[in-house]
Amino acid sequence: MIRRPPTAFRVAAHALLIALAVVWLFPLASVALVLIKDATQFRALAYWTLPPLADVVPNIVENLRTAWTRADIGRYFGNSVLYAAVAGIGSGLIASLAGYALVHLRLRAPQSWFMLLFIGNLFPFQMFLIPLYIGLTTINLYDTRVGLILVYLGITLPFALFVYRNYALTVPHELFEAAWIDGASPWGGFTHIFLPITFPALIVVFVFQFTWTWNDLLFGLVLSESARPVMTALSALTGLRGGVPPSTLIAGSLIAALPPAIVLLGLQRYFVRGFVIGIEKE
Amino acid sequence: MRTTRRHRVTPYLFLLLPLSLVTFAQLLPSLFTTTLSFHDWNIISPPKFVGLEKYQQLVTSETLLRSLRNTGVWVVGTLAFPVGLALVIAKILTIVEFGRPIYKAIFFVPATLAPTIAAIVWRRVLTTEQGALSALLPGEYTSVLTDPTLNTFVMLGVWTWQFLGLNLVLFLVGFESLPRAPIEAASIDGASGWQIFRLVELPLLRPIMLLVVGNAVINSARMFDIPWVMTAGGPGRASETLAISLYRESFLLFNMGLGAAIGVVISILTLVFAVRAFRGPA
Repeated sequence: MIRRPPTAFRVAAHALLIALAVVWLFPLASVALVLIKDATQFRALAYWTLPPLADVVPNIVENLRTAWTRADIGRYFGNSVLYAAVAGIGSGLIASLAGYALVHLRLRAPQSWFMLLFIGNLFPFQMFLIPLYIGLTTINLYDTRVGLILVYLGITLPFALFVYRNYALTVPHELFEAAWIDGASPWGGFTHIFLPITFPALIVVFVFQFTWTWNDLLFGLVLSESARPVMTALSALTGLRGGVPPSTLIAGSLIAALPPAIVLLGLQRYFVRGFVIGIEKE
Repeated sequence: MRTTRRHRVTPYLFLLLPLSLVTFAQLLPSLFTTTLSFHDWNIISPPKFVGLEKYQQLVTSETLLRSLRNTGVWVVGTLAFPVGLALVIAKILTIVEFGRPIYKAIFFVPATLAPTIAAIVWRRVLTTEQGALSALLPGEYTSVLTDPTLNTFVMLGVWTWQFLGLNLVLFLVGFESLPRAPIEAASIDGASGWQIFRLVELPLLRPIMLLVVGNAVINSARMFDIPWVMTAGGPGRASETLAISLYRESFLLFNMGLGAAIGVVISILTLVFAVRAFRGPA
Protein backbone atom coordinates (compact mmCIF):
# COMPACT_ATOMS: atom_id res chain seq x y z
CA MET A 1 0.00 0.00 0.00
CA ILE A 2 1.29 3.39 -0.94
CA ARG A 3 1.33 5.92 1.85
CA ARG A 4 -1.28 8.64 1.94
CA PRO A 5 0.33 11.96 0.96
CA PRO A 6 0.71 14.49 3.79
CA THR A 7 -1.96 17.15 4.18
CA ALA A 8 0.43 19.98 3.30
CA PHE A 9 1.19 18.31 0.00
CA ARG A 10 -2.48 17.84 -0.82
CA VAL A 11 -3.32 21.47 -0.01
CA ALA A 12 -0.47 22.72 -2.18
CA ALA A 13 -1.43 20.35 -4.99
CA HIS A 14 -5.02 21.52 -5.04
CA ALA A 15 -3.94 25.16 -4.88
CA LEU A 16 -1.80 24.61 -7.97
CA LEU A 17 -4.50 22.64 -9.79
CA ILE A 18 -7.19 25.19 -9.03
CA ALA A 19 -4.97 28.07 -10.16
CA LEU A 20 -4.24 26.29 -13.43
CA ALA A 21 -7.88 25.37 -13.91
CA VAL A 22 -8.80 29.04 -13.59
CA VAL A 23 -6.23 29.94 -16.25
CA TRP A 24 -7.58 27.14 -18.46
CA LEU A 25 -11.19 28.30 -18.12
CA PHE A 26 -10.51 32.04 -18.42
CA PRO A 27 -10.27 32.17 -22.26
CA LEU A 28 -13.42 30.08 -22.59
CA ALA A 29 -15.28 32.44 -20.27
CA SER A 30 -13.89 35.38 -22.25
CA VAL A 31 -15.30 34.18 -25.55
CA ALA A 32 -18.56 33.10 -23.92
CA LEU A 33 -19.10 36.76 -22.95
CA VAL A 34 -18.68 37.81 -26.57
CA LEU A 35 -21.08 35.16 -27.74
CA ILE A 36 -23.96 36.15 -25.45
CA LYS A 37 -23.98 39.84 -26.46
CA ASP A 38 -25.16 41.46 -29.65
CA ALA A 39 -22.90 43.91 -31.49
CA THR A 40 -24.38 46.99 -29.77
CA GLN A 41 -24.15 45.49 -26.29
CA PHE A 42 -20.57 44.40 -26.97
CA ARG A 43 -19.60 47.97 -27.77
CA ALA A 44 -21.67 49.65 -25.07
CA LEU A 45 -21.20 47.37 -22.05
CA ALA A 46 -17.94 46.77 -20.19
CA TYR A 47 -16.33 43.48 -21.21
CA TRP A 48 -17.27 41.46 -18.15
CA THR A 49 -20.75 42.98 -17.73
CA LEU A 50 -23.53 40.54 -18.54
CA PRO A 51 -26.32 41.52 -20.96
CA PRO A 52 -29.96 41.26 -19.79
CA LEU A 53 -30.64 37.59 -19.14
CA ALA A 54 -33.58 37.45 -21.57
CA ASP A 55 -31.26 38.53 -24.41
CA VAL A 56 -28.73 35.75 -23.97
CA VAL A 57 -30.32 32.98 -26.02
CA PRO A 58 -31.60 35.22 -28.85
CA ASN A 59 -28.13 36.83 -29.05
CA ILE A 60 -26.36 33.48 -29.32
CA VAL A 61 -28.77 32.36 -32.03
CA GLU A 62 -28.39 35.62 -33.92
CA ASN A 63 -24.57 35.52 -33.71
CA LEU A 64 -24.48 31.95 -34.95
CA ARG A 65 -26.86 32.82 -37.77
CA THR A 66 -24.80 35.83 -38.83
CA ALA A 67 -21.63 33.76 -38.86
CA TRP A 68 -23.26 30.93 -40.79
CA THR A 69 -24.86 33.11 -43.48
CA ARG A 70 -23.30 36.56 -43.64
CA ALA A 71 -19.69 35.46 -42.97
CA ASP A 72 -20.37 32.42 -45.18
CA ILE A 73 -19.11 29.95 -42.57
CA GLY A 74 -21.92 27.63 -43.68
CA ARG A 75 -20.39 27.11 -47.09
CA TYR A 76 -16.86 26.49 -45.75
CA PHE A 77 -18.30 24.23 -43.05
CA GLY A 78 -19.80 22.14 -45.86
CA ASN A 79 -16.42 21.96 -47.59
CA SER A 80 -14.74 20.79 -44.39
CA VAL A 81 -17.43 18.17 -43.75
CA LEU A 82 -16.70 16.79 -47.20
CA TYR A 83 -12.89 16.85 -46.82
CA ALA A 84 -12.79 15.50 -43.28
CA ALA A 85 -15.39 12.78 -43.91
CA VAL A 86 -13.73 11.59 -47.12
CA ALA A 87 -10.23 11.68 -45.59
CA GLY A 88 -11.45 10.15 -42.33
CA ILE A 89 -13.24 7.21 -43.93
CA GLY A 90 -11.39 7.01 -47.24
CA SER A 91 -7.85 6.93 -45.85
CA GLY A 92 -8.86 4.04 -43.59
CA LEU A 93 -10.49 2.04 -46.37
CA ILE A 94 -7.62 2.59 -48.79
CA ALA A 95 -5.05 1.83 -46.10
CA SER A 96 -6.91 -1.37 -45.26
CA LEU A 97 -6.19 -2.64 -48.80
CA ALA A 98 -2.47 -2.20 -48.27
CA GLY A 99 -2.54 -3.38 -44.65
CA TYR A 100 -4.22 -6.61 -45.75
CA ALA A 101 -1.86 -7.21 -48.65
CA LEU A 102 1.28 -6.42 -46.63
CA VAL A 103 0.45 -8.71 -43.72
CA HIS A 104 -1.72 -11.52 -45.07
CA LEU A 105 -1.03 -11.90 -48.78
CA ARG A 106 2.15 -13.20 -50.34
CA LEU A 107 4.20 -10.20 -51.46
CA ARG A 108 7.88 -9.96 -52.17
CA ALA A 109 9.62 -7.80 -49.52
CA PRO A 110 6.54 -6.57 -47.62
CA GLN A 111 8.76 -4.55 -45.30
CA SER A 112 10.15 -2.51 -48.19
CA TRP A 113 6.69 -1.86 -49.59
CA PHE A 114 5.60 -0.65 -46.18
CA MET A 115 8.59 1.70 -45.92
CA LEU A 116 7.89 3.06 -49.40
CA LEU A 117 4.28 3.80 -48.46
CA PHE A 118 5.19 5.23 -45.08
CA ILE A 119 8.40 7.15 -45.69
CA GLY A 120 6.70 10.37 -46.81
CA ASN A 121 5.32 10.74 -43.32
CA LEU A 122 8.79 11.28 -41.94
CA PHE A 123 8.84 14.64 -43.70
CA PRO A 124 6.98 17.69 -42.45
CA PHE A 125 3.96 18.68 -44.52
CA GLN A 126 5.75 21.85 -45.53
CA MET A 127 7.91 19.67 -47.78
CA PHE A 128 4.89 18.95 -49.96
CA LEU A 129 3.37 22.41 -50.22
CA ILE A 130 5.22 23.92 -53.17
CA PRO A 131 5.04 20.83 -55.44
CA LEU A 132 1.39 20.24 -54.60
CA TYR A 133 0.56 23.84 -55.41
CA ILE A 134 2.39 23.60 -58.71
CA GLY A 135 1.06 20.11 -59.45
CA LEU A 136 -2.58 20.95 -58.79
CA THR A 137 -2.28 24.15 -60.83
CA THR A 138 -0.79 22.18 -63.74
CA ILE A 139 -3.59 19.62 -63.85
CA ASN A 140 -6.25 22.29 -63.29
CA LEU A 141 -7.23 21.05 -59.85
CA TYR A 142 -6.06 24.10 -57.87
CA ASP A 143 -8.92 25.45 -55.75
CA THR A 144 -11.17 22.47 -56.48
CA ARG A 145 -12.77 20.07 -54.04
CA VAL A 146 -11.40 17.11 -55.98
CA GLY A 147 -7.87 18.47 -55.73
CA LEU A 148 -8.10 18.99 -51.97
CA ILE A 149 -9.65 15.57 -51.44
CA LEU A 150 -6.77 13.92 -53.31
CA VAL A 151 -4.24 15.83 -51.24
CA TYR A 152 -5.93 15.12 -47.91
CA LEU A 153 -6.25 11.43 -48.78
CA GLY A 154 -2.61 11.21 -49.79
CA ILE A 155 -1.42 12.99 -46.65
CA THR A 156 -3.56 11.01 -44.22
CA LEU A 157 -2.91 7.61 -45.82
CA PRO A 158 0.49 6.66 -44.31
CA PHE A 159 -0.60 7.01 -40.70
CA ALA A 160 -3.80 5.13 -41.53
CA LEU A 161 -1.65 2.37 -42.95
CA PHE A 162 0.53 2.39 -39.85
CA VAL A 163 -2.54 1.77 -37.69
CA TYR A 164 -3.92 -0.84 -40.09
CA ARG A 165 -0.69 -2.75 -40.36
CA ASN A 166 -0.32 -2.99 -36.59
CA TYR A 167 -3.91 -4.11 -36.32
CA ALA A 168 -3.57 -6.62 -39.15
CA LEU A 169 -0.66 -8.26 -37.31
CA THR A 170 -3.05 -9.17 -34.49
CA VAL A 171 -5.41 -11.03 -36.85
CA PRO A 172 -4.51 -14.76 -37.00
CA HIS A 173 -3.18 -15.71 -40.40
CA GLU A 174 -4.87 -19.15 -40.23
CA LEU A 175 -8.24 -17.51 -40.83
CA PHE A 176 -7.17 -16.56 -44.35
CA GLU A 177 -5.33 -19.81 -45.07
CA ALA A 178 -8.54 -21.69 -44.27
CA ALA A 179 -10.56 -19.42 -46.53
CA TRP A 180 -8.15 -19.89 -49.41
CA ILE A 181 -8.21 -23.64 -49.07
CA ASP A 182 -11.99 -23.33 -49.36
CA GLY A 183 -11.43 -21.53 -52.63
CA ALA A 184 -11.80 -17.90 -51.54
CA SER A 185 -10.05 -15.26 -53.65
CA PRO A 186 -7.73 -12.66 -52.06
CA TRP A 187 -10.50 -10.14 -52.59
CA GLY A 188 -13.01 -12.44 -50.90
CA GLY A 189 -10.70 -12.78 -47.91
CA PHE A 190 -10.52 -9.01 -47.75
CA THR A 191 -14.24 -8.23 -47.88
CA HIS A 192 -15.49 -11.21 -45.87
CA ILE A 193 -12.83 -11.58 -43.21
CA PHE A 194 -10.32 -8.74 -43.03
CA LEU A 195 -12.57 -5.69 -43.25
CA PRO A 196 -15.15 -6.85 -40.68
CA ILE A 197 -12.47 -8.00 -38.21
CA THR A 198 -10.42 -4.81 -38.43
CA PHE A 199 -13.40 -2.48 -38.04
CA PRO A 200 -11.99 -0.95 -34.79
CA ALA A 201 -8.92 0.16 -36.76
CA LEU A 202 -11.23 2.01 -39.13
CA ILE A 203 -12.65 3.95 -36.18
CA VAL A 204 -9.19 4.76 -34.80
CA VAL A 205 -8.15 6.06 -38.22
CA PHE A 206 -11.39 7.99 -38.59
CA VAL A 207 -10.97 9.81 -35.26
CA PHE A 208 -7.42 10.86 -36.12
CA GLN A 209 -7.79 11.76 -39.75
CA PHE A 210 -11.20 13.38 -39.51
CA THR A 211 -9.84 15.65 -36.78
CA TRP A 212 -6.55 16.29 -38.53
CA THR A 213 -8.20 17.19 -41.82
CA TRP A 214 -10.83 19.32 -40.14
CA ASN A 215 -8.19 21.27 -38.22
CA ASP A 216 -5.89 21.79 -41.19
CA LEU A 217 -5.11 25.40 -41.97
CA LEU A 218 -2.01 25.25 -44.16
CA PHE A 219 -3.06 23.08 -47.11
CA GLY A 220 -6.33 24.98 -47.35
CA LEU A 221 -4.41 28.25 -47.36
CA VAL A 222 -2.02 27.23 -50.13
CA LEU A 223 -4.27 25.10 -52.33
CA SER A 224 -7.64 26.86 -52.34
CA GLU A 225 -9.51 30.14 -52.45
CA SER A 226 -13.21 29.44 -52.95
CA ALA A 227 -13.09 25.71 -52.12
CA ARG A 228 -11.61 26.64 -48.73
CA PRO A 229 -11.99 24.50 -45.64
CA VAL A 230 -13.46 26.19 -42.59
CA MET A 231 -10.20 26.79 -40.64
CA THR A 232 -8.64 28.67 -43.52
CA ALA A 233 -11.81 30.71 -43.94
CA LEU A 234 -11.85 31.53 -40.21
CA SER A 235 -8.23 32.60 -40.16
CA ALA A 236 -8.94 34.94 -43.07
CA LEU A 237 -11.74 36.55 -41.04
CA THR A 238 -9.26 37.53 -38.32
CA GLY A 239 -7.21 39.63 -40.71
CA LEU A 240 -7.50 43.36 -41.14
CA ARG A 241 -8.88 43.05 -44.64
CA GLY A 242 -11.53 40.41 -44.05
CA GLY A 243 -12.29 41.51 -40.49
CA VAL A 244 -15.74 40.81 -39.03
CA PRO A 245 -17.24 41.86 -35.68
CA PRO A 246 -15.88 39.84 -32.71
CA SER A 247 -19.27 38.26 -32.05
CA THR A 248 -19.37 36.86 -35.59
CA LEU A 249 -15.81 35.56 -35.44
CA ILE A 250 -16.36 33.83 -32.11
CA ALA A 251 -19.68 32.36 -33.22
CA GLY A 252 -18.00 31.07 -36.37
CA SER A 253 -15.22 29.56 -34.26
CA LEU A 254 -17.76 27.80 -32.07
CA ILE A 255 -19.42 26.30 -35.15
CA ALA A 256 -16.06 25.16 -36.51
CA ALA A 257 -15.00 23.75 -33.14
CA LEU A 258 -17.98 21.45 -32.68
CA PRO A 259 -17.42 18.56 -35.12
CA PRO A 260 -13.92 17.52 -33.96
CA ALA A 261 -14.89 18.09 -30.32
CA ILE A 262 -17.87 15.77 -30.74
CA VAL A 263 -15.76 13.15 -32.52
CA LEU A 264 -12.92 13.35 -29.99
CA LEU A 265 -15.06 13.31 -26.87
CA GLY A 266 -17.40 10.66 -28.25
CA LEU A 267 -14.61 8.36 -29.42
CA GLN A 268 -11.92 9.32 -26.87
CA ARG A 269 -11.15 5.68 -26.16
CA TYR A 270 -10.16 5.08 -29.78
CA PHE A 271 -8.15 8.30 -29.86
CA VAL A 272 -5.89 7.30 -26.97
CA ARG A 273 -5.65 3.83 -28.47
CA GLY A 274 -4.44 5.25 -31.78
CA PHE A 275 -1.64 7.02 -29.96
CA VAL A 276 -0.40 4.08 -27.99
CA ILE A 277 -0.89 1.58 -30.83
CA GLY A 278 2.75 1.94 -31.81
CA ILE A 279 4.13 1.14 -28.37
CA GLU A 280 1.87 -1.69 -27.30
CA LYS A 281 2.60 -3.82 -30.38
CA GLU A 282 5.85 -4.04 -32.41
CA MET B 1 -3.49 -22.93 -61.78
CA ARG B 2 -5.77 -19.93 -61.98
CA THR B 3 -5.88 -19.63 -58.23
CA THR B 4 -2.12 -19.49 -57.90
CA ARG B 5 -1.88 -16.70 -60.42
CA ARG B 6 -4.63 -14.85 -58.64
CA HIS B 7 -2.70 -15.20 -55.42
CA ARG B 8 0.52 -14.11 -57.05
CA VAL B 9 -0.56 -10.98 -58.92
CA THR B 10 -3.52 -9.69 -56.91
CA PRO B 11 -1.50 -8.72 -53.82
CA TYR B 12 0.21 -6.04 -55.85
CA LEU B 13 -3.13 -4.75 -57.14
CA PHE B 14 -4.10 -4.07 -53.54
CA LEU B 15 -1.13 -1.70 -53.30
CA LEU B 16 -1.94 0.19 -56.48
CA LEU B 17 -4.36 2.76 -55.13
CA PRO B 18 -2.49 3.48 -51.85
CA LEU B 19 0.79 3.74 -53.68
CA SER B 20 -0.48 6.14 -56.33
CA LEU B 21 -1.99 8.46 -53.72
CA VAL B 22 1.16 8.51 -51.63
CA THR B 23 3.33 9.01 -54.70
CA PHE B 24 1.21 11.96 -55.77
CA ALA B 25 0.92 13.63 -52.37
CA GLN B 26 4.22 12.82 -50.66
CA LEU B 27 6.88 10.90 -52.56
CA LEU B 28 7.16 13.01 -55.71
CA PRO B 29 6.68 16.25 -53.77
CA SER B 30 9.56 15.41 -51.37
CA LEU B 31 11.90 14.72 -54.29
CA PHE B 32 10.72 17.84 -56.09
CA THR B 33 11.23 20.08 -53.06
CA THR B 34 14.69 18.68 -52.40
CA THR B 35 15.73 19.30 -56.01
CA LEU B 36 14.12 22.73 -56.02
CA SER B 37 16.16 23.77 -52.98
CA PHE B 38 19.26 23.80 -55.20
CA HIS B 39 17.60 26.14 -57.69
CA ASP B 40 16.68 29.77 -58.04
CA TRP B 41 13.07 30.03 -59.19
CA ASN B 42 10.46 32.79 -59.10
CA ILE B 43 7.75 30.67 -60.83
CA ILE B 44 7.87 32.86 -63.98
CA SER B 45 11.34 32.43 -65.47
CA PRO B 46 12.78 28.90 -65.72
CA PRO B 47 14.57 27.51 -62.64
CA LYS B 48 18.33 28.07 -62.50
CA PHE B 49 20.70 25.67 -60.70
CA VAL B 50 22.56 27.54 -57.96
CA GLY B 51 23.99 24.74 -55.82
CA LEU B 52 23.95 25.46 -52.12
CA GLU B 53 23.29 29.18 -52.51
CA LYS B 54 19.77 29.00 -51.00
CA TYR B 55 21.11 27.26 -47.90
CA GLN B 56 23.83 29.86 -47.63
CA GLN B 57 21.19 32.55 -47.85
CA LEU B 58 19.28 30.78 -45.10
CA VAL B 59 22.15 30.91 -42.62
CA THR B 60 23.19 34.45 -43.45
CA SER B 61 19.80 36.18 -43.58
CA GLU B 62 19.01 37.84 -40.27
CA THR B 63 15.28 37.24 -40.76
CA LEU B 64 15.70 33.53 -41.40
CA LEU B 65 18.18 33.09 -38.56
CA ARG B 66 15.66 34.68 -36.24
CA SER B 67 13.04 32.36 -37.62
CA LEU B 68 15.35 29.42 -36.89
CA ARG B 69 15.91 30.73 -33.37
CA ASN B 70 12.16 31.19 -32.82
CA THR B 71 11.59 27.61 -33.95
CA GLY B 72 14.21 26.52 -31.39
CA VAL B 73 12.33 28.44 -28.70
CA TRP B 74 9.12 26.70 -29.77
CA VAL B 75 10.70 23.25 -29.52
CA VAL B 76 12.45 23.80 -26.17
CA GLY B 77 9.46 25.66 -24.76
CA THR B 78 7.14 22.88 -25.86
CA LEU B 79 9.22 20.31 -24.00
CA ALA B 80 9.21 22.50 -20.91
CA PHE B 81 5.54 23.51 -20.74
CA PRO B 82 2.96 21.42 -22.59
CA VAL B 83 5.10 18.32 -21.97
CA GLY B 84 6.93 18.99 -18.67
CA LEU B 85 3.96 20.61 -16.97
CA ALA B 86 1.68 17.82 -18.21
CA LEU B 87 3.96 15.28 -16.55
CA VAL B 88 3.89 17.21 -13.28
CA ILE B 89 0.10 17.52 -13.37
CA ALA B 90 -0.30 13.86 -14.27
CA LYS B 91 1.87 12.84 -11.33
CA ILE B 92 -0.05 15.10 -8.98
CA LEU B 93 -3.35 13.69 -10.25
CA THR B 94 -2.20 10.16 -9.50
CA ILE B 95 -1.52 11.19 -5.90
CA VAL B 96 -4.53 13.38 -5.15
CA GLU B 97 -7.67 11.58 -6.16
CA PHE B 98 -10.20 14.21 -5.19
CA GLY B 99 -11.62 15.98 -8.25
CA ARG B 100 -9.45 14.09 -10.72
CA PRO B 101 -12.09 13.66 -13.48
CA ILE B 102 -13.00 17.35 -13.27
CA TYR B 103 -9.40 18.55 -13.55
CA LYS B 104 -8.77 16.10 -16.37
CA ALA B 105 -11.83 17.35 -18.26
CA ILE B 106 -10.88 21.02 -17.80
CA PHE B 107 -7.36 20.45 -19.11
CA PHE B 108 -8.54 18.31 -22.01
CA VAL B 109 -11.24 20.61 -23.41
CA PRO B 110 -8.79 22.96 -25.22
CA ALA B 111 -7.06 19.90 -26.69
CA THR B 112 -10.18 19.23 -28.72
CA LEU B 113 -9.86 22.67 -30.36
CA ALA B 114 -7.96 23.31 -33.55
CA PRO B 115 -4.81 25.42 -33.04
CA THR B 116 -6.45 28.01 -35.31
CA ILE B 117 -9.38 28.29 -32.94
CA ALA B 118 -7.16 28.36 -29.85
CA ALA B 119 -5.37 31.30 -31.46
CA ILE B 120 -8.62 33.13 -32.24
CA VAL B 121 -9.85 32.61 -28.68
CA TRP B 122 -6.63 33.95 -27.15
CA ARG B 123 -6.56 36.94 -29.48
CA ARG B 124 -9.88 37.93 -27.95
CA VAL B 125 -8.28 37.61 -24.50
CA LEU B 126 -5.12 39.55 -25.34
CA THR B 127 -6.22 42.22 -27.80
CA THR B 128 -6.05 45.90 -26.88
CA GLU B 129 -9.39 46.63 -28.51
CA GLN B 130 -11.92 45.45 -25.93
CA GLY B 131 -9.88 42.50 -24.84
CA ALA B 132 -10.91 40.28 -21.96
CA LEU B 133 -7.63 40.78 -20.12
CA SER B 134 -7.23 44.52 -20.65
CA ALA B 135 -10.72 44.99 -19.15
CA LEU B 136 -9.47 43.46 -15.89
CA LEU B 137 -6.05 45.10 -15.66
CA PRO B 138 -5.65 48.54 -14.17
CA GLY B 139 -3.84 51.24 -16.15
CA GLU B 140 -2.64 51.30 -19.73
CA TYR B 141 -2.48 47.91 -21.46
CA THR B 142 -0.09 47.45 -24.35
CA SER B 143 -0.55 44.30 -26.33
CA VAL B 144 1.95 41.57 -25.58
CA LEU B 145 1.44 40.29 -29.12
CA THR B 146 3.11 43.28 -30.77
CA ASP B 147 6.17 43.09 -28.53
CA PRO B 148 8.77 41.21 -30.57
CA THR B 149 10.76 40.05 -27.56
CA LEU B 150 7.71 38.70 -25.77
CA ASN B 151 5.20 37.46 -28.30
CA THR B 152 6.76 34.10 -29.08
CA PHE B 153 6.65 33.26 -25.37
CA VAL B 154 3.07 34.43 -25.11
CA MET B 155 2.11 32.23 -28.04
CA LEU B 156 3.95 29.37 -26.39
CA GLY B 157 1.53 29.90 -23.52
CA VAL B 158 -1.40 29.61 -25.91
CA TRP B 159 0.11 26.42 -27.33
CA THR B 160 0.51 25.08 -23.80
CA TRP B 161 -3.16 25.76 -23.15
CA GLN B 162 -4.10 23.89 -26.31
CA PHE B 163 -1.58 21.03 -26.31
CA LEU B 164 -1.13 20.13 -22.63
CA GLY B 165 -4.39 18.19 -22.33
CA LEU B 166 -3.39 15.59 -24.88
CA ASN B 167 -0.02 14.93 -23.21
CA LEU B 168 -1.70 14.83 -19.82
CA VAL B 169 -4.12 12.13 -20.98
CA LEU B 170 -1.26 10.11 -22.46
CA PHE B 171 0.85 10.42 -19.29
CA LEU B 172 -2.14 9.37 -17.19
CA VAL B 173 -2.55 6.29 -19.37
CA GLY B 174 1.16 5.66 -18.79
CA PHE B 175 0.90 5.99 -15.01
CA GLU B 176 -2.16 3.72 -14.91
CA SER B 177 -0.40 0.98 -16.83
CA LEU B 178 2.69 0.97 -14.58
CA PRO B 179 3.28 -2.36 -12.83
CA ARG B 180 2.57 -2.01 -9.13
CA ALA B 181 5.14 -4.48 -7.81
CA PRO B 182 8.37 -2.46 -8.25
CA ILE B 183 6.71 0.67 -6.87
CA GLU B 184 5.43 -1.15 -3.80
CA ALA B 185 8.79 -2.86 -3.31
CA ALA B 186 10.56 0.52 -3.39
CA SER B 187 7.98 1.91 -1.00
CA ILE B 188 8.50 -0.95 1.47
CA ASP B 189 12.26 -0.43 1.23
CA GLY B 190 11.64 3.10 2.47
CA ALA B 191 12.12 5.11 -0.72
CA SER B 192 10.59 8.59 -0.62
CA GLY B 193 7.84 9.63 -3.03
CA TRP B 194 10.33 11.67 -5.02
CA GLN B 195 12.80 8.77 -5.21
CA ILE B 196 10.08 6.42 -6.41
CA PHE B 197 9.05 8.92 -9.09
CA ARG B 198 12.59 9.58 -10.31
CA LEU B 199 14.14 6.12 -9.99
CA VAL B 200 11.22 3.74 -10.57
CA GLU B 201 8.32 5.42 -12.34
CA LEU B 202 10.18 7.65 -14.81
CA PRO B 203 12.28 4.83 -16.27
CA LEU B 204 9.16 2.66 -16.57
CA LEU B 205 7.39 5.51 -18.37
CA ARG B 206 10.06 5.59 -21.06
CA PRO B 207 7.94 4.22 -23.96
CA ILE B 208 5.16 6.73 -23.46
CA MET B 209 7.72 9.47 -22.80
CA LEU B 210 9.39 8.83 -26.15
CA LEU B 211 6.03 8.95 -27.85
CA VAL B 212 4.99 12.23 -26.21
CA VAL B 213 8.39 13.89 -26.73
CA GLY B 214 8.62 12.79 -30.37
CA ASN B 215 5.13 14.01 -31.11
CA ALA B 216 5.84 17.31 -29.32
CA VAL B 217 9.13 17.98 -31.12
CA ILE B 218 7.58 17.25 -34.51
CA ASN B 219 4.54 19.44 -33.89
CA SER B 220 6.51 22.35 -32.48
CA ALA B 221 9.28 22.31 -35.08
CA ARG B 222 6.56 22.58 -37.74
CA MET B 223 4.59 25.23 -35.86
CA PHE B 224 2.51 27.33 -38.24
CA ASP B 225 -1.12 27.80 -37.20
CA ILE B 226 -0.84 29.63 -33.88
CA PRO B 227 1.72 32.30 -34.88
CA TRP B 228 0.06 32.68 -38.29
CA VAL B 229 -3.32 33.53 -36.77
CA MET B 230 -2.01 35.51 -33.77
CA THR B 231 0.76 37.67 -35.27
CA ALA B 232 1.17 36.49 -38.89
CA GLY B 233 4.85 36.30 -37.95
CA GLY B 234 5.00 39.98 -36.98
CA PRO B 235 5.65 42.66 -36.02
CA GLY B 236 7.59 42.77 -39.26
CA ARG B 237 8.91 39.23 -39.45
CA ALA B 238 10.02 39.05 -35.81
CA SER B 239 7.92 36.10 -34.64
CA GLU B 240 8.13 33.96 -37.76
CA THR B 241 8.76 30.26 -37.37
CA LEU B 242 10.49 28.26 -40.11
CA ALA B 243 7.09 27.08 -41.33
CA ILE B 244 5.84 30.65 -41.67
CA SER B 245 9.06 31.75 -43.37
CA LEU B 246 8.62 28.91 -45.85
CA TYR B 247 5.07 30.02 -46.60
CA ARG B 248 6.05 33.68 -46.93
CA GLU B 249 9.12 33.08 -49.09
CA SER B 250 7.33 30.61 -51.37
CA PHE B 251 3.83 31.93 -51.76
CA LEU B 252 4.05 35.64 -51.00
CA LEU B 253 7.57 36.52 -52.20
CA PHE B 254 7.89 33.73 -54.78
CA ASN B 255 11.38 32.68 -53.70
CA MET B 256 10.52 29.07 -54.43
CA GLY B 257 14.08 27.78 -54.09
CA LEU B 258 14.56 29.42 -50.70
CA GLY B 259 11.17 28.15 -49.52
CA ALA B 260 12.16 24.63 -50.57
CA ALA B 261 15.49 24.93 -48.72
CA ILE B 262 13.60 25.90 -45.56
CA GLY B 263 11.43 22.81 -46.04
CA VAL B 264 14.53 20.61 -46.25
CA VAL B 265 15.90 22.20 -43.07
CA ILE B 266 12.66 21.53 -41.16
CA SER B 267 12.82 17.94 -42.42
CA ILE B 268 16.37 17.48 -41.18
CA LEU B 269 15.51 19.00 -37.80
CA THR B 270 12.59 16.63 -37.26
CA LEU B 271 13.80 13.50 -39.06
CA VAL B 272 15.44 11.87 -36.07
CA PHE B 273 12.30 12.29 -33.99
CA ALA B 274 10.02 11.32 -36.86
CA VAL B 275 11.88 8.08 -37.43
CA ARG B 276 11.86 7.39 -33.73
CA ALA B 277 8.27 8.21 -33.09
CA PHE B 278 7.26 6.66 -36.41
CA ARG B 279 4.12 8.64 -36.41
CA GLY B 280 1.64 10.25 -38.75
CA PRO B 281 -0.45 13.39 -38.87
CA ALA B 282 -2.14 14.01 -35.57
